[in-house]
Amino acid sequence: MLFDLSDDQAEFRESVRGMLGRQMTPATLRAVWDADGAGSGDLWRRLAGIGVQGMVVPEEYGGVGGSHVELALALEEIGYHGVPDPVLETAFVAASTLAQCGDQTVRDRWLPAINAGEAVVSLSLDKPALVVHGAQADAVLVRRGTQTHLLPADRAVWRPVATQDPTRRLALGEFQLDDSTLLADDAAVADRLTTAARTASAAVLVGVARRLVDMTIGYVLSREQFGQVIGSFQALKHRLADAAVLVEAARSLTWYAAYAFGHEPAAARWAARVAKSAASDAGATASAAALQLHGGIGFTWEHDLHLWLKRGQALQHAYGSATDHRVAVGARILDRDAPALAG
Amino acid sequence: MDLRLNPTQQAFRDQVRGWLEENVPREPLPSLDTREGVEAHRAWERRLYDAGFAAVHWPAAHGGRGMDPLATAIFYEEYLRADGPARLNRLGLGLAGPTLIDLGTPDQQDRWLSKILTSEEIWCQGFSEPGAGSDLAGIRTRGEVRDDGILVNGQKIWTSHSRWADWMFALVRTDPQSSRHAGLTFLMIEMADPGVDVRPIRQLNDARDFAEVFLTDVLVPKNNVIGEIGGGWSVAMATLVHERGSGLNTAAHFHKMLAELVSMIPEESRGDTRVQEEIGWLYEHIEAYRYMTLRTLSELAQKKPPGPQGSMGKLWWSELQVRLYELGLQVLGSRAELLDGHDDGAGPPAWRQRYWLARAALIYAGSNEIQRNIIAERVLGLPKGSRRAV
Ligand SMILES: Cc1cc2nc3c(=O)[nH]c(=O)nc-3n(C[C@H](O)[C@H](O)[C@H](O)COP(=O)(O)OP(=O)(O)OC[C@H]3O[C@@H](n4cnc5c(N)ncnc54)[C@H](O)[C@@H]3O)c2cc1C
Repeated sequence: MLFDLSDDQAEFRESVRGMLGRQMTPATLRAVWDADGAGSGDLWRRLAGIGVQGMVVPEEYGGVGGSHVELALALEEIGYHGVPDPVLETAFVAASTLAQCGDQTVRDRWLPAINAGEAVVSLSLDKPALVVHGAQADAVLVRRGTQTHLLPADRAVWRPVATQDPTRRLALGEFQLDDSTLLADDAAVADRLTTAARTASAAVLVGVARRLVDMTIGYVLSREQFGQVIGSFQALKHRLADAAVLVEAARSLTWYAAYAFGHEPAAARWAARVAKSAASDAGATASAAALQLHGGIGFTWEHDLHLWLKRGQALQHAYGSATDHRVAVGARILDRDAPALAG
Repeated sequence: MDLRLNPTQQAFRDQVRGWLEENVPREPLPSLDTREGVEAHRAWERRLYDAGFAAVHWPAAHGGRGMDPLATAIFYEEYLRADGPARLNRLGLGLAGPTLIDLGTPDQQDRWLSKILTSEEIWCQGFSEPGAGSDLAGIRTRGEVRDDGILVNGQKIWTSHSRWADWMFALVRTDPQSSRHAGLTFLMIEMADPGVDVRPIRQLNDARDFAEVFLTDVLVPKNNVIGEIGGGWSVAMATLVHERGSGLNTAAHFHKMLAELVSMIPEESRGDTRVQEEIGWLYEHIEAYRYMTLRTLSELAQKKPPGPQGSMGKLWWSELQVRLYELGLQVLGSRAELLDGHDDGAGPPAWRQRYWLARAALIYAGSNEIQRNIIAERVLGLPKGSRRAV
């Protein structure tokens, strides 16, 4: 029993951090905002180059064949650096799902392309089909009930809708699902798809929350009022401490959820709900502290803070809010007929 | 990262589980509030000792098993699972012993360690004083250094378990000119000394577990000083590091409390989404505590410095614990205030006791405000606040 990153995992995280630190600066993100979401340039291919999209693609399809824990580490960095592309949907959800179902032609068509950074696959878990990067994706995985479909771009019409964070690039889809798009009609496959989305979005959100905390620490250490840096005021120190504690809690739960996704399939479903709920809470608390502690400057368009505030807000509600998940977990625990969750 | 037990851990777990299944008393022991209860627990501790389970984390040379923090956690998980009796000598096994192992001389280790392990000698912690609580460096109990020893005069307060204790580890001020962290000395005081006067304090939960301890002309041999005379602050800090690893406030313990709470919830409330959400919140927080702790134990087992989460455990468990018992009181409704003998036997007094003790945990072992200061300053790098009244 050991719950810690291996040297290789820590090194991989450093490589993602290093690359994004150079390629995905706040100025780059702002340029993407100004171009209405377009123009993150060759970042997608660079991510593929260091093995992010191919992390859980099996080796026989050219992938890394690595673990979901490594992928979760990368996703946390992706949130931290504000990467605007649908990495969690493609690298975690689509790669894991396609590696386990669909026929050989589907796998041959998509897995090598995902690995190479040549395919973007997005996700729709429910109606309405409001999908991130919907109009840009090469395909969209669609869950309806127990069915999982893979919808190539030419089988749907995507109408872009404007959102407060243009890098989300949401689009509303119109399409018909039929036997030709069906990957699997199997509740287990569909549930695993949802579990993947929750686990992966928790990881990204932990990164966003950590970035909000770090930006705020930087600010309170430089801003002076009453003759001292505002970071010396205990009311502010305690708010940041509370946010930091929630981030670490969510991070530990996310590591476990990613581990469980690969190794403890029966536990993965609940681990994902718990991780996403904790990440949403960490995101909300970090957001509240960050804006408040920045004062007026944080309320401007010009300051970078809102880029992460808005990303965080979107992710808090995507793939289930904290309330949704807590009610589901609590209901299950209170159900006398259901087997115990853990403990 | 691998959550499966390795073969060594598995063998240890099976051994512990097997022994506990055969040996844990079927009937609960009498309460620790009585002499009879203390003796019954002492006899149980002796059995643990004879089986080599008194302190598995102590080095083998000192009577432990030299287990790493992960194996120690496995032991406590099994102990809870088997419903083992409350541990009698927590401050001896958890704080005094490890401090002696780290910083005691061989003579001091011989003098005290084995009697801690057997619980022949029970320990208490004499740090807090009327004028020195969160600000521990404000200690005023005097220790006059003489040729024949250190003559101690002063007062300790909130000293838990002092009623039954044989020894107290204490901080005293040996240099009257000094202030703050300098000039303090860490020493062992024998409670049987006629100059030691223990006056139990009635607590708000109507128990008498802590006390005022008056120290009048207590002559402490110099052999009882741990570390240097005047070097007590660093010894006390080494002691407090062990407070983190006491092993009892585990996720397994809180899961057990949650299961008890769930069993109290009546059928008609089980479909209420507010109750469901709160249960979900508790489960999530216990699981977070489990993985934060496991992260820290894994780091320590590999001799790495703990990550940020290593400083967050006390804040986390103590706050989730209060919320857990609060929900229980809410479920009990107006029955929650009933005293023993006036309820229907379904347990409100026990539950309410635990609730108040949970409230105390927000105050002791470094109040939660102090915990937040530590996180802000040592983990996040924010400026230290001024600690002195001006
Ligand atoms: C049940 C129980 C058992 C105990 N057992 C023992 C024992 O066995 N041995 C022992 O030595 N002590 C023991 N204590 C004492 C405990 O360690 C102290 O109560 C604790 O350190 C707080 O000190 P204080 O009571 O003097 O409160 P104070 O330090 O006066 O604190 C009062 C309030 O002010 C806050 N405060 C103080 N300083 C700051 C600051 N810098 N920033 C923000 N807020 C601050 C505190 O958080 C608290 O809310 C026990 C206490 C309890 C309740």
